[in-house]
Amino acid sequence: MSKILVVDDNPDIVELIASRLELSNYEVITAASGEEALLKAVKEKPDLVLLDVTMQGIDGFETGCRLKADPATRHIPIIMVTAKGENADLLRAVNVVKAAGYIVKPFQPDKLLEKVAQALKKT
Amino acid sequence: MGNPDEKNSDSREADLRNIIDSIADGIVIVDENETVRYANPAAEELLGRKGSELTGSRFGFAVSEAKRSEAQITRAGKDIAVVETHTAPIEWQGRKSWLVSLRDMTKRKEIEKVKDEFISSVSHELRTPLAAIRESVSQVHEEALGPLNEKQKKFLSICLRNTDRLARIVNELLDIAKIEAGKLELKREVIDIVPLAESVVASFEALAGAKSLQLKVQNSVRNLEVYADKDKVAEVLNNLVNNAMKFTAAGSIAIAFKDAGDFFECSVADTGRGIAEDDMNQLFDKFQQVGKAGSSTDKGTGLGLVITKGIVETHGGKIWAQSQPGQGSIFSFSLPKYNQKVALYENISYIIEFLKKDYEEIGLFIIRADNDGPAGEKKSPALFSTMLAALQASLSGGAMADQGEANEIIVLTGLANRPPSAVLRDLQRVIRQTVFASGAEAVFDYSFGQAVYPRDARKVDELFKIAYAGLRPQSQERLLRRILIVDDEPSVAAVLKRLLENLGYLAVSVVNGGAEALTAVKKDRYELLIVDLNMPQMSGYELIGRLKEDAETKDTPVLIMSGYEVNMERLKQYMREKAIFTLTKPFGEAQVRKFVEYML
Repeated sequence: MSKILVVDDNPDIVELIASRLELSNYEVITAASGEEALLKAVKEKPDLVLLDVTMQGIDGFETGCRLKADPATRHIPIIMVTAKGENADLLRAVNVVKAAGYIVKPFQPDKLLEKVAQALKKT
Repeated sequence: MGNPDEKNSDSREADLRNIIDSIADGIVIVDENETVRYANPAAEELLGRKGSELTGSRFGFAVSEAKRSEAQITRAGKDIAVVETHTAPIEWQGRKSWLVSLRDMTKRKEIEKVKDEFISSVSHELRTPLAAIRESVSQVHEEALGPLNEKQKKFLSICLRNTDRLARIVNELLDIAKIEAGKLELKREVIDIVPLAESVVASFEALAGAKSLQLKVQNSVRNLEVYADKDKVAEVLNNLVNNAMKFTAAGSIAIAFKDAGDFFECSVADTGRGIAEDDMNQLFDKFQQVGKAGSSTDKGTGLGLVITKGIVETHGGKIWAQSQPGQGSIFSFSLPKYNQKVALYENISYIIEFLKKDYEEIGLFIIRADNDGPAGEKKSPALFSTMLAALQASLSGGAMADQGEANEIIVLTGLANRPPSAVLRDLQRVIRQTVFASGAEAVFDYSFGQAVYPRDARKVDELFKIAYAGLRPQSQERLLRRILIVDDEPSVAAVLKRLLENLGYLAVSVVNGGAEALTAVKKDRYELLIVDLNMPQMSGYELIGRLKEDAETKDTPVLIMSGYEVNMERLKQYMREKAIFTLTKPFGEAQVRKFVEYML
């Protein structure tokens, strides 16, 4: 069973994404900030990180870059979640963070599951 | 000429100065040598310098026939101002000059920025709660969390449908805001338009059936490629067909495609009630719904056609309508067909947007393979693609290399406070290494052009224009570089010098010993030293060691010339360099050319 780390500073979104993933039989752990995500990624060794872009404190881009810079977490695929969907953000997700993909909010559940399955399959 | 005329002209000039001095925009008069001849008080204020300082000094901005451009200026000890300039040719005190008017755009730029940020943050603030509502309702509605009764399920369906509608309205309002700010972003790709249109039409078939309307696609063309945002073009088609359905009670709706040269045209014709002449003008205005639509549930925001128009125009197309009351309407739009240059420029403008977040200045470099080498060689396509790959691999983080025209490589990179010339040297090194590694026969003659965003221009097409205008063949540049031959044997040095000169090198000097070489490199800058190892007094080994010890000369490439095998151990004592090249005596032209071209 794949373990997914869901990172968002909005607790409602975290719970809903977690529930949706659990319904599809994924194991879910959560983090409410970039800082927490960095700690949990090292400790819990998830198979995938779903990372919100806009967060208080260190944002999703910074968190993603740090995950990719750390040899302990470098291999974990990241899917960026953004509510803005601006081209520059998407380019940043792919080129700077080297994210496996991105999802624009509000997302359709099947899109989310499809991207998650895709990202997990690649590794 | 008599006195009265002169007096007349003096007073005319005084009048003119009075007028210029009272204008709120900065006015600067610049002569043909780009020297400031006059600056009005508003210009002094704007540039943060006194008129007396300005007059007679160089203007500092490129002055050209271009009517309008934008520049950033750092004011003496102050802030940065964004200035819009207009240039017009005039005659000033009997000399051909330029009148440059400067308008402070700083405030307006700030307001625009605030507005952009507002749109972007509202979009985030509205979409996040909508996402939460939609997802929570939909998990319950799917009964994934437990069974529901009929009524509960029905009400949650209503909730979902209306959430989707609200999301659509939010998106439409945001689209409108973006269109008005000129910030509608397109995610363009090459799309085959006919199947896309057919799939949109197919989604209306059930509804058309229910209304007993005939829905037809008349396509006389196939394989029409447009470079467009797929979702947005689908939205345009969707809006137009949806409108036609809404206003047509009986008859048919026909969608037709046409290949119109550089454009693709699509029209949606209905047999509905048509549009009154008075209403035609407001068709594409905000919040206008001409005539009465059906039930209140399918009433739109009145923004559909405004967005449709915005999308089409952002793509560089046009939209228009023909109609007569009672005779039905025809809505048509055009989209430009796929064009490689447009696609490239747009891609580059996205990349600039993206690099802008991390870098103040971005360099655009064009490497163009010149078709004929000095010996008439044709470039090998394999070498070219190896080159592209090598350049891509050498660039890290905020950079990219892409192929422009068939014989061009485009490199975009954040400058990170380095001068463009330093980046250029890095790129040249990669090119040289690739050529060298590809074999002795390889020759890669190319021209180099560059432009810096935003210093030189902000628009991609202007950046390219500047880079293209500055394209210089590197073979010519290379031939100008200074080469020093160090050999105690004058005859060998003379042969090598003549050989290099025959290859076109223009600045080849000779010295006959290590000590002389050290003096020479101190005095002049050399870009390549060709050193004989076996010399009396100071050996080549020692000379190279000394050169490498000195910060000033340690980066100057050295080519070793030797009749014997090079004693690498001995050389390594002097050098930390990994790669050392040796020109073995006796040498031929091909060998000399290969090494020298690589090292320069």
